[in-house]
Amino acid sequence: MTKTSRFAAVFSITYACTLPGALLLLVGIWEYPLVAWYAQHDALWYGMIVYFFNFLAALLFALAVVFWKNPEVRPAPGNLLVRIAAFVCPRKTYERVFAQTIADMREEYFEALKLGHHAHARWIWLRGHILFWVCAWLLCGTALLHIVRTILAAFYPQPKPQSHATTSVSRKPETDVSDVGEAKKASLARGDFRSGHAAPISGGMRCASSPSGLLPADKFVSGETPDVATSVTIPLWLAALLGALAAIALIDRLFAPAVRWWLRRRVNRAIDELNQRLKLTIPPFKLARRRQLIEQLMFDPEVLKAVEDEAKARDEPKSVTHARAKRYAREIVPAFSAYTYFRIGAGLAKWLSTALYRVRVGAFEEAELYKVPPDASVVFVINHRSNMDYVLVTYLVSQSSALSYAVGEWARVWALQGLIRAMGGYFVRRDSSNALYRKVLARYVHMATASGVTQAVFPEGGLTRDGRLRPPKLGLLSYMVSGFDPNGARDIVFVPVGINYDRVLEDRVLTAAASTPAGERPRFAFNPLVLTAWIAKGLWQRIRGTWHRYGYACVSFGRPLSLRGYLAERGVDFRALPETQRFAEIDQLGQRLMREVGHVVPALPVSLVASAILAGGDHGLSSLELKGAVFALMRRLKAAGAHVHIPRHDQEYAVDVGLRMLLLRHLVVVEDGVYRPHTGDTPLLAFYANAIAHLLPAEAAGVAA
Amino acid sequence: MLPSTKEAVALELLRSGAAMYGLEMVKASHGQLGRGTIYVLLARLEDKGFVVSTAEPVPGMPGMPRRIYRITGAGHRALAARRAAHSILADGLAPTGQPA
Repeated sequence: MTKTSRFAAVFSITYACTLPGALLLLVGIWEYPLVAWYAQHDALWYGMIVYFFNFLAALLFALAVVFWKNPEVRPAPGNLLVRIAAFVCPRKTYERVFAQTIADMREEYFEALKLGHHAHARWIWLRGHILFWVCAWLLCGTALLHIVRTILAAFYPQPKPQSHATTSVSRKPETDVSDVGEAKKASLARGDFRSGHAAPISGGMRCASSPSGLLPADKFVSGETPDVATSVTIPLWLAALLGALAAIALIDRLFAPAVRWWLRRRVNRAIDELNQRLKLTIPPFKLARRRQLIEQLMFDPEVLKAVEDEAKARDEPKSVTHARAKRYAREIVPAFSAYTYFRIGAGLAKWLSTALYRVRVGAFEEAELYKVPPDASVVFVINHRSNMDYVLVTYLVSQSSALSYAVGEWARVWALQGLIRAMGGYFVRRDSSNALYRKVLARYVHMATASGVTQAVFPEGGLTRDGRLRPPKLGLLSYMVSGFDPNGARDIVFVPVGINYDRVLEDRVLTAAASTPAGERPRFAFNPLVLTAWIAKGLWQRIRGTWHRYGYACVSFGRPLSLRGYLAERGVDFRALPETQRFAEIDQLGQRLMREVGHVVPALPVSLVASAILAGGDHGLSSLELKGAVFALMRRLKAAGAHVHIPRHDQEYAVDVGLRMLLLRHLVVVEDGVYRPHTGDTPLLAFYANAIAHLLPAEAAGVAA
Repeated sequence: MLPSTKEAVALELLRSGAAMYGLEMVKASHGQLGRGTIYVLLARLEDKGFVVSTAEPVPGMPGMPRRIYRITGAGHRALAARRAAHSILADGLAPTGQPA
């Protein structure tokens, strides 16, 4: 608070507080001589006098409080300049020039204040500020001169000295160079004193000009003004070109480094803050620059060996194979940006998740999850039902950590690709059998895991087509665990995550792909027009206020599995096993993880109602029968240890919610109070029923449509 | 390149092996060096390798660490070369026109 504002505050408060007293005096409640005087004179005058004294008293009081021996704490002079210089200049320039100039100003300023020379202190303050900008101009000028000189040197190279000293400045033709110490003089004129041969030179030299203004003026013979410089004429286009190059160089040398430094400082500060907040800190590996990671990957001994083998096998130059491997590395390695992840990605994920679904956290092994060591490499193992999985898990985990996903090559499209990379995702070619590609990918995943990067994997290797859990694919898992050292400092902890939705956005596309004949690649009937129409419809409904979310999306987190503990339990070390045995062990691990994931998949209303209706068959179920069937299902699931999400803790409401969703989508029809599956939509109902089928093995056979 | 006049003044001040910071040099130069140019000059000298600087371990009264400058071997040689050149040229331009 400045003195002026403090004065204003004190004055207002004093005046406001004393005014009632003055008014009381004015109306003459107190027996005071003035009152008698008032009685004899005009009331207006009396009032004005009271007001005036009240005002004066408040003014004097405020002045006394604020200015009488009341020291004011001010920031040191040049505070703003420090901020400007730190923002604009490169660190080196800031420390060497601007910080020193400001330090000088402060030293002299405080010295003047100490001696009581306030006017001089003010002058030092002003001079310091002027000098700061003088320094800035000098630096800019020096940088420009340097650039221009470099360019001119390229166009007009200096001749090499031959038998006598020549400098860039011109000499008169009659210049007479004496014969003393020619070599030394030549060395001297070149400024070759670094060699240590230049010092003391005897003898004389007759010269009309001095190489660098060394001579005092009185040494020149009057009337013999030397021709000290030659003007160089350059065409206009060259001048324009030089100007443009100088501007580019100025931006490149001064502005861009400053902006980069400032941004880096902000990012580092943000990451420090984040790491204090996050339960799982972001490891330096994840923050390393993409280029460095690619280089690190390319010089990995195993990648180099794979390059050599591939070059031999294909009988091609090693450089060609190396370049191909580098292309793979560029494709895989992400460019994580904490800002993009936490400010943009997490915010978008939250908005999208909550806009589309009622997001709920189901089972949560809190005590076990908090036991996970902060330096462990945590891998979230998730069942893959929808592309929303990425968004939903990112949103729910963003308070604890930054996840790194493996993303299929389908997402390698402009804009989306950059966003995914900035979010820490890495691209994988799921069906690639190229040995070199697999090796580069394996080494990247191994490096990331060994460095403690928190990852999320979908072991099923793709979206489920029929709603069931798919058998695990072991590629990524084996890359993560093959080189694991059970006695190493860093453990790998798998956290099973089960996801279920009341409505999967792409369910029709998926169930259509499920009908692909065995052995053929499934075709996803994605139509951009359908997507656009869907988005437009959603927006229109939101505008009109008729938008309803797609029911519940529930995520459950299971009990973490420590790889170190698992290996100790089984008494194996992956590194020591032969390949076939290792794969068998990794397969065991994958099966175990899938079981854990399956166990925590939550049962949601739509899945429950779909299961009951499908079990009812073509006969259909009345409202009461349906409720009874769903309640029985809930009991069985609970008995099996599954997590059943019952909204509002009301079982009847759960049935109503699930049924309403299916009726709205016309997957279920009601005729005479009997609910039946809609003809032709049984696969879609089965898709939802199958999400919890594995939790009820006895019913699985009946549901599989 | 030989050091310029201003650069030579700064190097002369450091020649005795004294370690000084910019303001000290300005004060010691009796007006030959200016407050506005000294740090640009010293930065240039440092780039040329004639001086080296270190930051104060503990910031002094201004609250910002000062940079203390010292002359290097190259700085000594540059100064000597400049003096030699100066004497040669001065003698060469003597009014008599005769070499010394």
